[in-house]
Amino acid sequence: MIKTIDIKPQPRLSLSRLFNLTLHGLRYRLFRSAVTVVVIAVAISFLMNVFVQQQVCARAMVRCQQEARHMRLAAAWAARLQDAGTIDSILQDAASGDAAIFAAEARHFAGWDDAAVSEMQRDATRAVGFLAFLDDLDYGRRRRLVGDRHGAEVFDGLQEKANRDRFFAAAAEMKSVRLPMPADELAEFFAQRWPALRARLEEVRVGRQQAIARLQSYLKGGSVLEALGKAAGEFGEEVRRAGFAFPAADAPTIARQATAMADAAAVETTLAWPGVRQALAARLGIMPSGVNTDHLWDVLNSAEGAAWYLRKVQAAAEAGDPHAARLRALDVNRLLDIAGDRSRMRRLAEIERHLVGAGRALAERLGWLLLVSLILCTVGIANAMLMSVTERFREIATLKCLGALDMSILWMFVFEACLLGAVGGVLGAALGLMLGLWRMLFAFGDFLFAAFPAGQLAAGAAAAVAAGVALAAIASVYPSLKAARLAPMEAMRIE
Amino acid sequence: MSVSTSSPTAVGRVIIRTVNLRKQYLRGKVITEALRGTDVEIYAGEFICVMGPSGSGKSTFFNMIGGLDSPSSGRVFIDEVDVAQLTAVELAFLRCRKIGYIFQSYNLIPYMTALENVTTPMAFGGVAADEARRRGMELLEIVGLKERWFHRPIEMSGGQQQRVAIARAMANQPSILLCDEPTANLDLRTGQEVLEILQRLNRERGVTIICATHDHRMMNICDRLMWIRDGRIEKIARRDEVKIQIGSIGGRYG
Repeated sequence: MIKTIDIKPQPRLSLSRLFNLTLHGLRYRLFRSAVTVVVIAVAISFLMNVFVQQQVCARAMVRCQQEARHMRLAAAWAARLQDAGTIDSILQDAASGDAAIFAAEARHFAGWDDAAVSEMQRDATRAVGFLAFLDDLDYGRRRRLVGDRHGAEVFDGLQEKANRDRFFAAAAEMKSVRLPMPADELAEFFAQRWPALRARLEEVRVGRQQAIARLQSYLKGGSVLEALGKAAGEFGEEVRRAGFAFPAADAPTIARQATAMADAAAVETTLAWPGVRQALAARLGIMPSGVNTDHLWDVLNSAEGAAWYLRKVQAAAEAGDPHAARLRALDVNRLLDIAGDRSRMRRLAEIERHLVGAGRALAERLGWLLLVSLILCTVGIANAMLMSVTERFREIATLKCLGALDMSILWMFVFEACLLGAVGGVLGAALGLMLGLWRMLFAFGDFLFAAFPAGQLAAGAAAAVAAGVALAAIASVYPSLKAARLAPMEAMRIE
Repeated sequence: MSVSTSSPTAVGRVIIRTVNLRKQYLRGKVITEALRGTDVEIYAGEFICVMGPSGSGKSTFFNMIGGLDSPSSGRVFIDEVDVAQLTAVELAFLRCRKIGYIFQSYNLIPYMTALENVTTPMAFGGVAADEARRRGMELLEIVGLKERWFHRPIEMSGGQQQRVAIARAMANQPSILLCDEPTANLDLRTGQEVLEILQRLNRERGVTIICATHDHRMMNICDRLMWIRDGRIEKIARRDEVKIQIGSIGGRYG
């Protein structure tokens, strides 16, 4: 049976067989593997959690602003139809705001063509961008650059060459400050574009003033809000004739909101009636002087409270009150509607405030948080894999005595790490998703579902699993090499 | 120290030859000489016992002739092939098919069944799974464990584990079996079973068996005995030559 010894290169084992071998081993070391999986899952769930928060906040922010703007349509139009605004507010309108409405107004009031409008909007965007850049600076730096000026004054100040020179000198000295535009472009903007832009904004303002004056004479001293209640009809036409781009599609909404606002104002005046105020104070168990509009609306938010309030108002009604007719027309459902809208509006404002604060804080720390958690994860996996190698010295050495190639051992450990990474990644992504959504549900309530970024979250989960596998693969490089280079004579050692 | 050599019972082909083999280990700044120049010839088909106290360089000698470690100087020829000339991949081939290793602590892979343990070297050697299973069952039959092929190491006694280890060492029909104190962890009866299997493999299959041992029963079945002391070969003797001195040897090792 003796074969003559004829030495050839050892064949390579197929990857699928190595994979089977790895699976076999993992099944045997289930507890140890579970610990590693938990480490990976915790790190990945943290990543996922932060990601969910970021995505939901971003989506909710946009959605929230849209909805808030929609709910404030009547208020916005009431303001627009009474006040032409300042250069600053017109600048903001031109840059962002309702771009279409502004463009239509600019065409009507100033008689520009489309090219001029779009050019002005571009310039306005640059101006607003520059102001935002200034707002992000700390006080000392801002002062050195533009002094105490704000808004349009900043550009007016920079019209003077001395100020401009001081600005560029100071900007050049500040190493960490990056201007939003190249310096020469900025200089040109200050010197030439701004005066032109300012002149155009002024034209729009004058146009608005004239339109407002025309509307005032139409209303003959009546309230704009009352008039907006008939926005769907004749008044809407009149507003359009005056030159405002009054949207016909939104007119019914605006009319409804305007009526509700007028009703709400009327309801709030009843707090001045001693009978109503005292009844409220008795109901709430507080001093009459402490009753405010929030208390009133809280009471009106329930059917029972609204009915109670109507009874009190009818009992205390005085003939001379200018709102008496309006108040008589209210019923429980109407009050509930108004109170509901009001509380929704307040909720939106609250979310918006929360989002602005959270968004900034999150963006500042996000990079660090992610980096730290990635490092922790890598160290955790590397440690687990090193332990796995150390406690299997003899097994690895034995396999090498039986003819395993270095590459085979290497693959076995890389496979092991990747498998653990994949399982940990999936668990972590699921956990992080649930945790993040749970937290967001508390922050936003049902609003979360209105702005649910399902696609982004799915992509994020896939990326998290991939990150888990990648991390595990990176972390296992050193332990795997160590295992592969182990001398086979280790198997001979007796413990 | 004089080294006495002796010709084997049946003069055959030399399968392992060492030439002035030296090995030094560097521990910090202290150089430990584990082997100080050993020259030995081992013949194909013989059963040779290697003896020596711990620290004598016995394990180092084993690692050298098994292709597990490289000497500081000197050469090892396995069937006239210089081991130092082989690449890592060829060394793996050598370990896989030409040499079977049997360890004192069995070193079975704990998560594999007896059969899987036996077929692992075949898998590394590129044998198809079905063929490997068939041959694995044959080998388990030889060591008397055919009925327990599905047991894991933890479910078997020491003697059974060592028998599985022998079957595994024989997986690719090697020419040489290197046994490192195969009976040291076993009681008398199970040790006897292991010895009988080794003897049978040597007689029936002509496998060269090199066995480090302190077990005096091994001396009764081997062809030659070799003593290592302080990194040198103290003595090599045929069994029938040693028999005369058994009293004194028995006193030292028995």
